[in-house]
Amino acid sequence: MNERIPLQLVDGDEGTLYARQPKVYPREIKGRFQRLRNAAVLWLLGMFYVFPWLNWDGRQMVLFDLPHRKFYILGLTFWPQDFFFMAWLLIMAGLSLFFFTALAGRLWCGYACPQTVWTEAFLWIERKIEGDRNQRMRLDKAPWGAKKFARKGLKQLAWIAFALWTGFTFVGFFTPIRELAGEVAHFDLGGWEMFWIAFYGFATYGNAGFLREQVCKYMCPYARFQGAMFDRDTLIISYDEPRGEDRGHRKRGTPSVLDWADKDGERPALGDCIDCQACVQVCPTGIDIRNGLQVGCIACAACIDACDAIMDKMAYPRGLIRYTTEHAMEGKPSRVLRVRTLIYATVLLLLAGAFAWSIGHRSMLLAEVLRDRNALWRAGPAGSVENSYTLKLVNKSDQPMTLTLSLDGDTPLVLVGRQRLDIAGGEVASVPVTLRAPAGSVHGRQRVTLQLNSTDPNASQPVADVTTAFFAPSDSP
Amino acid sequence: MIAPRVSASTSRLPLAARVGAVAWPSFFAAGVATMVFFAVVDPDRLATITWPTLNVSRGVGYTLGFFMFWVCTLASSLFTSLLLKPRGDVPVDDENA
Ligand code: SF4
Ligand code: SF4
Repeated sequence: MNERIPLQLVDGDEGTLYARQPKVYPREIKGRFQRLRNAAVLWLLGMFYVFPWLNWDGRQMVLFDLPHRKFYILGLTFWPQDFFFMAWLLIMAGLSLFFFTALAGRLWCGYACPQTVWTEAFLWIERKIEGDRNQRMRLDKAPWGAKKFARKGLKQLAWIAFALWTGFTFVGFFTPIRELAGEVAHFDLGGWEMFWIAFYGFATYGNAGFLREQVCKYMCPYARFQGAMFDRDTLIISYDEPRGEDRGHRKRGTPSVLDWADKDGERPALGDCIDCQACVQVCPTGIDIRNGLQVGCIACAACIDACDAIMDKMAYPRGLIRYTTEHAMEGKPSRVLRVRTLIYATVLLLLAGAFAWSIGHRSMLLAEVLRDRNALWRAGPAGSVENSYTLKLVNKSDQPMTLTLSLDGDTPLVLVGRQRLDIAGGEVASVPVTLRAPAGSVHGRQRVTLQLNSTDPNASQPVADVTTAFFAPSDSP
Repeated sequence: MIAPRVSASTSRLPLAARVGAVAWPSFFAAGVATMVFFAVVDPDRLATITWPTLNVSRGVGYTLGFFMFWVCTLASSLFTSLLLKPRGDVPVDDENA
């Protein structure tokens, strides 16, 4: 019964099982939206590559210092205990995405998504080295020779260098970048740092150099659920079908159909689309916007710029492809203020307000009390009972703190030892504390609250209290 | 000889899309899990209660943690993708409905 079952792997065969994706060669264009996009790319990449190098109060301005478990953002310091703020921030980011999507469609995709931004940067390098769309297509078709090898090699080198720099910057957000640069310069990079530089670099290279539009088409969850945030008043990029069809070539100087609108007589057979394919050639995801709104459209507005340029050449009014809404296309008014956007905006404002308030009011002192494990109680002098504890204090601020320790409420207990505590900025202190009950005053278990007060009467210094238990023998002698 | 029949009708997606559909969601989930986990647990302390003899720095701890999560989520995504593969013996009723 020990027969081997012959198994066959059925899907190794690319040719039959996987649809081949035609490579997209987006053509470069000029135009107002392209300028806006370039500005967005420069701004965002600028922030990414420059921020880690900026200092604030002698410290890296944005540093998620994982090795020391502290985050520094513009002068604010966050501890792991502040994780809650991070989660809150992420929720706010998600909600803003909802808000902007309801308002203006896939603005995020076209202008701000890292996938788009880095793809633009990689495309720019490609263009500088391999030339424009036609040159790139010719180069790809050409047989491998010295020239093709040199161009392709140069491009790969530039891509890899840029990707590694990206990886380096990425790690520079998590460990001080100046030290990191020193380690790179002296070739003594730590293992995990080297690994993440390579990993992030490789991910950038793969996503922006090769996968490109496939990430948007097949891997992006946002592209799939955007429909839930859209309504008929959301800005979309659309081809004006009634105006454009029937498409076709024509003689120069043929007037636009719009010029016929107010005239009597038959509409000309040809609409305003001259079927030049410009809008298809510039599309980074390789779709034809004239087929209607598609999931693949990242709303980059490249086709608007392309078509506007053609319309200008034909002396037709611009806007055959334009930002519009479904309502506008049906000839109804579009509303910016509507239930959906108002709800998103209100919730967002409330969250942001509460966030700012709690950041401003967060306690800079973290206190925790631990009972000593060895014994419940021990005998003190003159028949008294003593319990000992360890007080853990974290000073989350950068300034030293002076605190006084006291017991809260009416209790026969007394504090033994130090009651004035000095904690340096950013210090985690362990303070031994002993409580003593005079003979016969306490039986069994009793709740006690330790209070920490600032010595500075007019500062908004933190006051923390921690509660623990005091044990004494139940039947006192 | 047993030759499992696997219909190809719904798997006509580009290779990148299929790899991405497994790798990317699992990567994302692992990232979130790592963030939440290490916000609560300090890898230094974790190291002392697990293998105190090994010298594991925090950076290495985070990295190991991330990959441990990723291996789990990757396995789960792979498993799901396997189960979702169309089978020859189960008729796929109108996919486009
Ligand atoms: S259809 Fe137009 S807006 Fe959409 S991705 Fe293509 S070029 Fe960009
Ligand atoms: S760019 Fe404008 S005119 Fe040219 S094919 Fe596209 S829609 Fe038609």
